[in-house]
Amino acid sequence: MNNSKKILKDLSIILEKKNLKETDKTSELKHFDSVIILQIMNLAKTTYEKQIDGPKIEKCNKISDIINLIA
Amino acid sequence: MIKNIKGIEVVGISCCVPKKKITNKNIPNHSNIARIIKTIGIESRPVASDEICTSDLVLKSANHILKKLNWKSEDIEILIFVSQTPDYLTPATSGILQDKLQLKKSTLVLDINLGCSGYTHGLIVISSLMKNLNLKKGLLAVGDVTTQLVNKDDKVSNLLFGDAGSVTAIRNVKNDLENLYCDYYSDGSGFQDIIVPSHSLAGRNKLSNPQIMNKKDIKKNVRSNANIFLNGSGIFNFAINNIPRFIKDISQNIKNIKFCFLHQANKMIQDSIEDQLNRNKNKFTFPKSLKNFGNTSSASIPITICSNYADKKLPGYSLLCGFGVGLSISAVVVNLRKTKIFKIIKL
Repeated sequence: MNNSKKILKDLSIILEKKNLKETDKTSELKHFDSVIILQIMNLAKTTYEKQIDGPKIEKCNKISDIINLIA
Repeated sequence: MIKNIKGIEVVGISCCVPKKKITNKNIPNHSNIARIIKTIGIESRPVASDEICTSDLVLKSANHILKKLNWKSEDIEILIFVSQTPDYLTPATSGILQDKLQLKKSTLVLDINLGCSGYTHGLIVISSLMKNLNLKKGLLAVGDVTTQLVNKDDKVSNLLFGDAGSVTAIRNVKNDLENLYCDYYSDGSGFQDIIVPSHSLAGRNKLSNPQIMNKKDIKKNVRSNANIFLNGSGIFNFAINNIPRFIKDISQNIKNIKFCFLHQANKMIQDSIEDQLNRNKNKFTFPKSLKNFGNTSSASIPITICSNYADKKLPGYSLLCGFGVGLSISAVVVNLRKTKIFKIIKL
């Protein structure tokens, strides 16, 4: 599994959406609140050793944008 | 750089929480509550009614510890009160406590305005003053009623905080083996990450009517300028980027640390810090109190100690680390093997 696919899988767990796609829009997700953003920051730091600021995640329009931040 | 204050003994720790308890899952009109509870790790919290002030919780805790230790109030030479929710903007709450506890008028009393790092900062300050002024017995009082600063329509902050007060009895001893090691860190550039924007009576931040009106932010959380605001992502990054490094530095210099009592902010911050420290082979025990007490601000470290180890002894060194408002961090390494740890009492 390459890194993008692994991140997508990790994000699908956080976002509680089984068939999450890179093209999915964040505005159409059931949950994309401050707690989800913290969970994504935590994932980036603990699993991928990358520090991301919350506002950058908030500005992501698509799942692929989040993946690009973490990858 | 780690400092060493020699000849300081932590004699006892007591805590008091309000009787009233809020169970997070029962909070109405909250669509994502189960998911948020799982992430923050807080199921229930003691919450003070509007009639309760921080000093009430601290006073009950102080009377309890004085009685249990058989300490006389006239023997206390210093009392420090640490809180971000004092009874009044002025006068200092420590003076009110001095009178209610009937401490002698020559007692040195002072307030410190700090929250989550307040307990460890307080230990450093009281120990230093006791050593320098040759004071024999002192009380460190910490506590907060943060729930009274939270807007009930602030969906996340409203689930985080619990209220509590605590008193720690400190003795200045001649035994140089009783060491209190400490370190501290401040970054005021993050002052807006945990803030009550308008709680002053003077200057440009003074409380005036238009400012206290409730407003909805872009995440649909409702707050006024008199409510506490938390920038979750700023606090998260501050904590996970600084605390593991800070603790690692200390633990490399002091051997035999068995327990690491972290400020109980939320489960995600805690797990992330633990994960990073354990990855670096620092195998401490990390006791917790979040689940049933929430984030009790300055009282969270003593609440964790008393909720897990009441009537028990803690062998080896304990590392206590507070972090938060300021932004600030402080850590104390102290031997609690002789410390009397009391059961949490209720008001």
